[in-house]
Amino acid sequence: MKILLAGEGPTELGGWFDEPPYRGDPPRLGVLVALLAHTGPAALTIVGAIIWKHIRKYRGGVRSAESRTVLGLALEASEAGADVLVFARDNDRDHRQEEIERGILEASERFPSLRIIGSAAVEDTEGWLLAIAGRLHSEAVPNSKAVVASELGLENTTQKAEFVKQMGLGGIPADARSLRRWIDRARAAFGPGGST
Amino acid sequence: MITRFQIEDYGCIRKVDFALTPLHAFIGPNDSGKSTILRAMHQLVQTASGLMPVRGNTLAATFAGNVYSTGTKPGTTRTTERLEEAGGRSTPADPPPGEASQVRKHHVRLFQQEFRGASIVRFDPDRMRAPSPLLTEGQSTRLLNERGAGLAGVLLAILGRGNDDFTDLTRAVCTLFPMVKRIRVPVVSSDQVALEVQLTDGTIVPAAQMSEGLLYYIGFAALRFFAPVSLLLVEEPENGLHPSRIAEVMKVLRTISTEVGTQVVLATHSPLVVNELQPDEVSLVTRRSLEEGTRVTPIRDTPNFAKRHSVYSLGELWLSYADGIDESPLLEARPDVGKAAG
Repeated sequence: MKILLAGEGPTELGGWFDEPPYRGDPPRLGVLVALLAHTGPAALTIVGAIIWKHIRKYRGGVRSAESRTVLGLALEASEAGADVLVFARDNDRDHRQEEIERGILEASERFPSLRIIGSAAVEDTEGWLLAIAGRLHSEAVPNSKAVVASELGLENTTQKAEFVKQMGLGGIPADARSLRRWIDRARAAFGPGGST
Repeated sequence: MITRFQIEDYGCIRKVDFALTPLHAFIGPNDSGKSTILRAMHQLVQTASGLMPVRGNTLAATFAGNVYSTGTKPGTTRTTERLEEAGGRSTPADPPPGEASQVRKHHVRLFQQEFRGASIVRFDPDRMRAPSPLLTEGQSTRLLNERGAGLAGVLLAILGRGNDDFTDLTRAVCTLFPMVKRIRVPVVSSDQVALEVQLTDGTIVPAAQMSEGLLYYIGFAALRFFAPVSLLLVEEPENGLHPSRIAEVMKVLRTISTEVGTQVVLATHSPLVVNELQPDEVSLVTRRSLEEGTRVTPIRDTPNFAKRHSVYSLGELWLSYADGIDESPLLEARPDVGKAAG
């Protein structure tokens, strides 16, 4: 199964954030691939990765920038021959959740053969790490990056990705809605056989 | 209006044949042949209008079912003396013997009715700023050259018409530049006129001190009031303009094509210009090798266009796939390659 990854930076993408000449083989683990290890089948082929800001946006039109980016990602995934688009985008106290959901809905209609596993991470990927650690109200924690560093001791991409890989997904509180939505989409995309 | 254009052995062009719309833009990398196409079109229309002699190249334009050619093309007839007098060659496909002369005369008339000259515009602010000669009675209301020299004289001539043209022009400029109250064209010597603007606080700003963006916009806004030509060729209309002004200039150019009846053909590097156009109005110009020469591809004919255009506006689509070398990511379907990070 071919996967196209998308995210804002190295925390989500790991070594796939790096330019190809500087990318390790295999690339450093990122949070998205670590999450896929819990939800996807063993045989996954990552065909590429896109940094969120690299999707072009010059004119607003009727779609928001976030929705347009999701559509652009889906087009890229489709043209790259990917079966699945996997992404996460920090919500950052903006109104990105609704816009990203609209983008996913429209992309699913335009690219029906492409499976989309994505969500806004509320408020960011570090908030998801707190949820994986079992913390309640993880989506309302201000400055979650600092909390993850101080309480979980996770300061760099590798530590964060390894933490996700080591932890199961069973202890995620019900109020971690954005992470649960992402996981539900992954399980729906890969089917029961893909979950661990 | 020219609906198709063919060029053979002209500058970097070996052979191209492309469709045109009333407003049309050529996009593509540097040194691909966009400006050469504009030059070829200029030459053909000037020749057809009797303003330029026939040269050795083969250029051909199709309009209203007729073909006008400056050379010999397959399926076209050779030169006749009458047509050479008219500055070009007719191409009615093999008229019956005896009727050829009449048919060709008819075509000569068609050409002369159709083509009223062509203008190239590639504004240079320093040329636009310079005081210019007064236009004499009966002199055509046109710039002295493609760089915008003579703008002040042309504006004075528009003012001298005594109709609403100059008022409309001033209004268009003041709307986009609210600090400008009026455009002034004082006669500064016995044979020269200058360009100035008066600001809302009364300050007079001579052309030498005007911003390039203001000068460019005055130039573009004035184009629609010039003596009409059949073909207006514009090099990089985006130059010197704020991104939000580019859409306004494109509105002006579209108005010229729809209301004045002048066909407008552009060469541009700006996705913001392309965003203001429809898919049929954009062609991609590329040149992969000296041997192959320039190619012209309608953007609508590039792979996966419908799907890509459902996601991206036209300018975004171009820039999302362009590589600035030969635009191969836009011209070739991508087999199995994901865009890597970075």
